[in-house]
Amino acid sequence: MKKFLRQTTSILGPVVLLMAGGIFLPSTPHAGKSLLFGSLAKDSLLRYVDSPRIILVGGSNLSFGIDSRMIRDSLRLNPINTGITASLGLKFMLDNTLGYVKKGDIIVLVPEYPLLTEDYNYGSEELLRTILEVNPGKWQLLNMAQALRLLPFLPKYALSKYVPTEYLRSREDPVYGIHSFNSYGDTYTHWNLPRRLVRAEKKTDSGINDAAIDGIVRFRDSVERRKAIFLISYCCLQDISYHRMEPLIKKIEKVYLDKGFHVLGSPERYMMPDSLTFNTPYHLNKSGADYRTALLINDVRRWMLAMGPGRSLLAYRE
Amino acid sequence: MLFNSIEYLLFLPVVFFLYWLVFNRSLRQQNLLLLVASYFFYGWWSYSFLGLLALSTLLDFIYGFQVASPNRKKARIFLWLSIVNNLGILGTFKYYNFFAGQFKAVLGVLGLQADPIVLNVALPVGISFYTFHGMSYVFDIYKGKQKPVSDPVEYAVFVAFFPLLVAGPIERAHHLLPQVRSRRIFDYRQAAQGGRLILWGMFKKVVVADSLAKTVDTMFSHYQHFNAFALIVGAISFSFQIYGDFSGYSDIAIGSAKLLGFELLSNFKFPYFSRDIAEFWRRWHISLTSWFRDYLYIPLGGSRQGNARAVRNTMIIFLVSGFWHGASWTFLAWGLVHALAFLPLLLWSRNRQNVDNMVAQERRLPTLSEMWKMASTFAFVTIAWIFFRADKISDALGYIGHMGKSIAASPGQFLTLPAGKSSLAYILPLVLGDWWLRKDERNLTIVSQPLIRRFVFWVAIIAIATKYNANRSFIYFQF
Repeated sequence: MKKFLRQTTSILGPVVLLMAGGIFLPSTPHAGKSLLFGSLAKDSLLRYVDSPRIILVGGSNLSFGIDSRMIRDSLRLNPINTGITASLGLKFMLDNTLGYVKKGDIIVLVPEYPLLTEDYNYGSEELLRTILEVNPGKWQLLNMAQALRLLPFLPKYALSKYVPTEYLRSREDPVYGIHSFNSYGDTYTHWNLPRRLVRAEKKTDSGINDAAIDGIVRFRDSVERRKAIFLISYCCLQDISYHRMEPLIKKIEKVYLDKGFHVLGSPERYMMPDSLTFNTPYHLNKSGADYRTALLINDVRRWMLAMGPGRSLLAYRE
Repeated sequence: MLFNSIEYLLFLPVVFFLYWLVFNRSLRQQNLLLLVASYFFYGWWSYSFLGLLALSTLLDFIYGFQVASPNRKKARIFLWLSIVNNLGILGTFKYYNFFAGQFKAVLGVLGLQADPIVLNVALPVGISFYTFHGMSYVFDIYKGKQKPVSDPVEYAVFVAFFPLLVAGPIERAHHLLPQVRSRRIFDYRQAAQGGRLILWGMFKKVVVADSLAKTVDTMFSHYQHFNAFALIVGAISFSFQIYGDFSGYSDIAIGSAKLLGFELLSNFKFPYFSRDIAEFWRRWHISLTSWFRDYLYIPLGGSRQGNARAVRNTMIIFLVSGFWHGASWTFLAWGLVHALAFLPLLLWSRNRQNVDNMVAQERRLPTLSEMWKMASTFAFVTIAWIFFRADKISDALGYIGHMGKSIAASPGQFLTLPAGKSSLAYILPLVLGDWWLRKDERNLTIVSQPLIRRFVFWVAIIAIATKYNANRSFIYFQF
């Protein structure tokens, strides 16, 4: 037994030490230029942008699918697009936003469908990177289940510090880079790029992730306690993928209504022609972003009107 | 709990230490620990199905005594009760919805309308494996190969032993039960073999299979967008994905069992080095194939009662084997395709040409003739896998048809590198590793020099850690 344990330790020990070293090494030049570091600027927007504000919360369907300037000009609200990637997980997105919510803010949550159905609620590798090298102070937002969910990504993260290309080829990605966001938080560097091959989502009809829905309910309650407004909407999605995922999307729509959320639009409304997508079923090119933003603006306007004749948005907020 | 999860990485050492250092003085305590650990392991996925596992175990434990009765009529009644009970559980959870759907479709064709009740429950993980464990125990007692076990804990450990609970190897009572009932002594050599097998299994799963999965998923869901060369790469990638995934799982299972002093049955013996389809089936998912052979094919008369009976029995065993994998026409088609390839060998008595020898047994490299035989067998198996992987028969036919159309439209495509070419980088280490190990499948000594061996281990561990994906389940968990 002793021999076995000694041998096992002598084989695993150096690898464990290597990994431990990797965790504590600073971020590589390549990683330092990734879009994840854009979250620092987005947190800054959340902290300093003045009221009246409309805060868009979700994954990359927002960063790649909104032109916030149109929102500012149409609704006379100061937009903040917090979308980076769905891989951060819904729980982290909500917890992080909640720390900055001010009285009178309008929060529009636009989660990608997998955030509500699959195991993305607690985030994945990108969240681990955000916590370890982008904004270490945010570790306090994690709960135990989330930390356990992220643990398996730790070895890969640690060992990435020893990959030579992380140091030698550190050119910033033109689309997924730290400088891909405009002053509102929209990804804009792809607006002039040609469309890429978009592979549709697979047919799926998985169940709803109850933990994710419960998280949204808690978030709504917290937002409303702060005298802010919580609205929820549907992510944009390429038409082919939409049809493949329709049974699942319908389940989500039903949950939204059952929970009594203020819902903007319908899933069908945000189904996008393939020609308006950029490189994934959730990412739009400039024409797509304009079209989708116009839809969202209309839906917000409709909601404002539905608040009652003569009741302005500001009155509602009061 | 998945073998490739962080939970298992913590669970296994804890069980190992408790097993050898705390409960090592009493066999009963060790078995109790194994039982608790196995139920914990299973309950980690879904505790709500623990009751079903316990019930299935209890019933077969009781049937075992009845089947041992000298009164053969009574024994036969209880044998059938066990079969009905196990197949009933399996049929309800795994096949009911399929048959309800087919029933509705048939009525629809006849112009009638029906809305059969659909069960909205998840398929309990491992149900196809633990029900087969139970049946093998009762069958063996009925045949007099095994005496009923008097200790329910020992029997429950046989059924639920965590390394094999959810995806096999499907053990036999006469092989595993004696090990459960005898005292285990820590053996360095066995434990070291177990550790190496776990590492090799993880490499096959995490580095090879999971990496290939990306190419495979893309090719199979968007085959219309790719040319024939890319689709061939996609199909070959799936052949190695499923092999890396399932044989990797089996290696981790066998390795984990070795750490606890158990020897499990072999499940894979380098199937892609087979020289004909009969040899392939002696090397692929061995524990299932031999289960069907012993408990279905031979009781039906095997091949000893004339050609007509042999053809019928062969068709039955292949179709049942296909259907065992899942309630879908694609699995039946996969079984049928294999049956059609196997039958000529059987009828011309060429199915036992390569029984006990491995290709290039005494040589480093195969002969040209052996290479041709291996390549043609692999090509056939790969085409059959397309049916296994596709969601629908029409998708499988579409995939194959699109390959044909693409070749006809653009024969020159083979002069340029195909999409998904990077998959080949993952296949190569697996093929080379298997070729190296083919004569000594479980020892995995690799090289005798400790430093070089250690270096190989480090590279493997780092590769596993770098490729680790916490979300990828094992393909055979769904069966």
